[in-house]
Order: sequence, then C-alpha cells, then structure tokens
Amino acid sequence: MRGEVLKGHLDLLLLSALVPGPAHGYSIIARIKTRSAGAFELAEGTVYPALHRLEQAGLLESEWSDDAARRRRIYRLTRKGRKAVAERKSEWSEFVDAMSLALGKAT
Amino acid sequence: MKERNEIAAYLVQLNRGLTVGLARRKRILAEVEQHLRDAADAASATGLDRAEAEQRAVAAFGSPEVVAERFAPDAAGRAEAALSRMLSALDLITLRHPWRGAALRAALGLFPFAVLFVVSGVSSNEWPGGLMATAAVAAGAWFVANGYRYRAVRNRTEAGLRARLCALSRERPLLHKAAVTSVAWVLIGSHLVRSSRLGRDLLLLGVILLLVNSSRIRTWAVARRSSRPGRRWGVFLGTTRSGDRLFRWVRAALFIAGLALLAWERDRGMVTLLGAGGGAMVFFVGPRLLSRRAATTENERLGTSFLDHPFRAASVFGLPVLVIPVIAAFGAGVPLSFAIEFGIMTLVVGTVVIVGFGVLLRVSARRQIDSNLEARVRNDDAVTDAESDPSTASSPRPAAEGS
Repeated sequence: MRGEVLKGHLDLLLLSALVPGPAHGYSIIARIKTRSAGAFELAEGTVYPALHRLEQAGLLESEWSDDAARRRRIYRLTRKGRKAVAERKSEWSEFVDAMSLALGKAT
Repeated sequence: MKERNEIAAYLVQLNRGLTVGLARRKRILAEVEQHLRDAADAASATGLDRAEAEQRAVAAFGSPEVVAERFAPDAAGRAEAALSRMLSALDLITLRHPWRGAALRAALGLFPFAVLFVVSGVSSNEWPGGLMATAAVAAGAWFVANGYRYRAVRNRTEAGLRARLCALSRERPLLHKAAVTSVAWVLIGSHLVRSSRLGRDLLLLGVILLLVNSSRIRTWAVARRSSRPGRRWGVFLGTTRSGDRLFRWVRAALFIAGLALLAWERDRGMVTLLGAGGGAMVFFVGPRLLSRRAATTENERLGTSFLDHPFRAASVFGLPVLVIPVIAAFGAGVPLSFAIEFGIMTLVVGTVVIVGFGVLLRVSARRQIDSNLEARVRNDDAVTDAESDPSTASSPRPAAEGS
C-alpha cells in the first residue's frame, strides 16, 4: 500500500499494534505487517520518530530490556494511550462507515 | 572487493544529521542500531551474505538525512551542536597553529576575570588590580606552557587533539603536567609571595603535592607488587579494588582538610587559595569519583565510557567548589553578614560552574560518541581490507563493539 495512504494513520497503527502487549520497534513493524496480511509495510525510518512523538505525548512509555541477547527499547501503552486507541478506533469506524456510504458500497 | 560495515557507516551519517540533545541522541542511535541488526539478521536468514543483508536493512530504513530530520530538533540539541562546532573549530586552529590555539584558550580563561574586574570596579568603585594581575600572570603562564604543549602535538599522527594530548601525556609526562598545572602553580606562587608564614605554607604545599602525585606512588606500588607480593601495602596504597575506592575517598578527604586549613586565613588571599583549591578538587578528585558513579552500560554499548547524566555529574564536580568556601568562611569565624554575602556569591559561582561543566560534559560526551562511531567504521574498513588482502588475512579481527 502507498506510503502516503498510511501516513495519516501511522499513530493509530502503532498504538493498535501495542494493544496485545509491549514490543520493541522492529517487532511492532512486523506485527503490523502480519496483522494486515502483508498489506501495510511501514517505512521503517518513520516508525521510530513516531514512537518517540507518541511517548512524548504520554500515550506510550518505554524502557530498555536486557532480557534477550540484544538490548532493546520496549514500548508499552500507557493508560492514556489505551484510552486514545479506543477513541481513535471509534472515530475510524465512523469514518469508514461514512466513506462506505459516500462511495455507495453500503447495503 | 572492499566491504564496509553498512550499519556503522549509517549510524555515523545519522549521528551527523541529528540535532537533538545528548540523551535522546544516544537513545536514537542505540534503537536504530538494534533495528538495523535485527533487519540484517532477518535478511541473512534468507540466504544473503552479511554485507548484502546490512545493505538491504539500511536501504529499507531510509536516507539517514531524512530520518534525522524526522526526529524533531530541540533547543538543547541546537545549542549543543553550536558549541560542539565552536570547540571543533578551536581544536582545528590549535592543531594547525599551536600558539594561536594557546592564545585563544588563555584569552577565554582570562575573560571571566575581566568581567569580574569590571563588575567589581563599577559596583564598588574599587578596582581589584591584584586579582587582575594574578589572572594575567596565570593566563600568560597558561599561554606559554600550552603553546609548547600544542607545538609538541602538531606533528603527531593520532586523530584529533584529544587523542594527541593523551598520547603526549604518556610519552612526555613532564611537559604535559607542566602545562596542565601551570595556572595552579602561578596561584600557589602568588599566595606564597604574600604569605607571612612561609614555612608552614610550604609544608602544606608539600602535603598537597604529595596527594596530587599519589597516583605515581600507586603506580610504583603496582609495579612492585607484581614481583614482590605485598598485599597489605597494595591495599594501603589503593592498588586493590576495595583499597582503590578507599584510597580515593581518603585522598578527597585530605584535600578538603588541607584546603580548609589554608582557607582559615581569610585576610591573606583566601579567595585566591580557594580558587586554586577548588580547581584542584575539580580536576583531580572529581573525575575519579565520577568515573565510578556516572558511567553506564548504555554508554558502554555505544562504545563510549563517558557520562549519561552530565548535569548530575557536573553537580558532583561543582559540589566541592560550592561547599568548601562556605565551610571555610564559617570556620574562619567571619561576621554573619559577610558569611551570608560570601555564601550568596559562592552559590552564584557554584551554579555557574555546575552549568558550565554540565554543558562541557555534554559536548565532550557528544564528541566521544562521534569519534567512537567513526572509529568503528574505520576499524571495520581496516578489517575488511585486511581480509581481502591474503598477506594479512590471518590478522585478528578487532572488536567493533565498544572500540
């Protein structure tokens, strides 16, 4: 899928990918790709600035993990982040419904 | 065919493009490096050789300039970059024109005294000529000693001024030591000239010199210990791990005690003495305390051995400068109004010292990250060159991490 299509939805994709549990940047990208059946292949260089921005906004928190052989920064949703995911998903559903209606696909 | 460590080279480019503060910079570099290594591992698993796998990982991540731009710059990062550029320019001038570099540094050192001179003169109409004369002599000594030192490093082959100075300190310790301590010698000399109790002050000076040079004694003890087991002396002189820590604290305590004794005489150049003592504390004691407390595993992973919390570290540097004069002022039994005035002045000076050191530490750490990343690329290039050259193919591969 074209990058510019995903651009406006990157935050929601990243937040949603963390709903199942904490993950580091590389696995977040892999999660999104898997969950979208390969349709969403994020530009990797855009993901980390977005994760940092979401963390600064208080939607994510992160810490270094030394559990694995390689040291990684693990991201997880904050309470504010979980609330934001729920709200944005709801907005997205409304948007999709409206678009479907507008495009004449509904019913 | 020459192969490069694409990931290290990418990190160098990214580091150059980033305009964020130090802590964030280190985090970004570490995260991106881990991501690229994960991506390269995944690509290797599909059958690509390592170089191709790294190339693919780097290409997928995007241009380092563009990625760097996506990390929003902050004011601290911009200020740090500007200061780093300024210091780099100073180093460059020094490497090419040693005497100009020494003159610039002496002028920079003299500047705060000049400000103090003007402020003091305007506010109280009493111009502190003695202070200015001492500062001018100290700056002159600094200029001459460093001019010779920088001249000695001009023709060395190590990369960068810092590396050359380190090498010089190993090979010509006397010249290095003379240049580093030139200002302290002038200040101490200034005090001795005005001292009415020369004998006692010379004794104190001897004690201080013994403490300052105690590392030499320790080194001697280490050398002796290798051929003659004398653990008790080793512990006493700080040549074992536990003794080492104790040794540093005892030395710090002796420094403080010696300075407090000297500062007791408030009518005879106390401020000069405190300045010299504070400087000695900062340069001789601070780094030893800091090296244990502030180095982190994160820094080590990035190949740096410097500090993760520069302002916290700077407070450890600045604390003796802040505390000693206050203790000394109270110890000297001065009137309360003077003690308060002196305390406020000390607080202001201490704050300036702490902030100044904090900024310098940030810049130093930044420069260390830069040089370590670039050294990794150079090492990898050298290794791949050697591997492609059959005559040197048996050379051991140096560790890229933490080089």
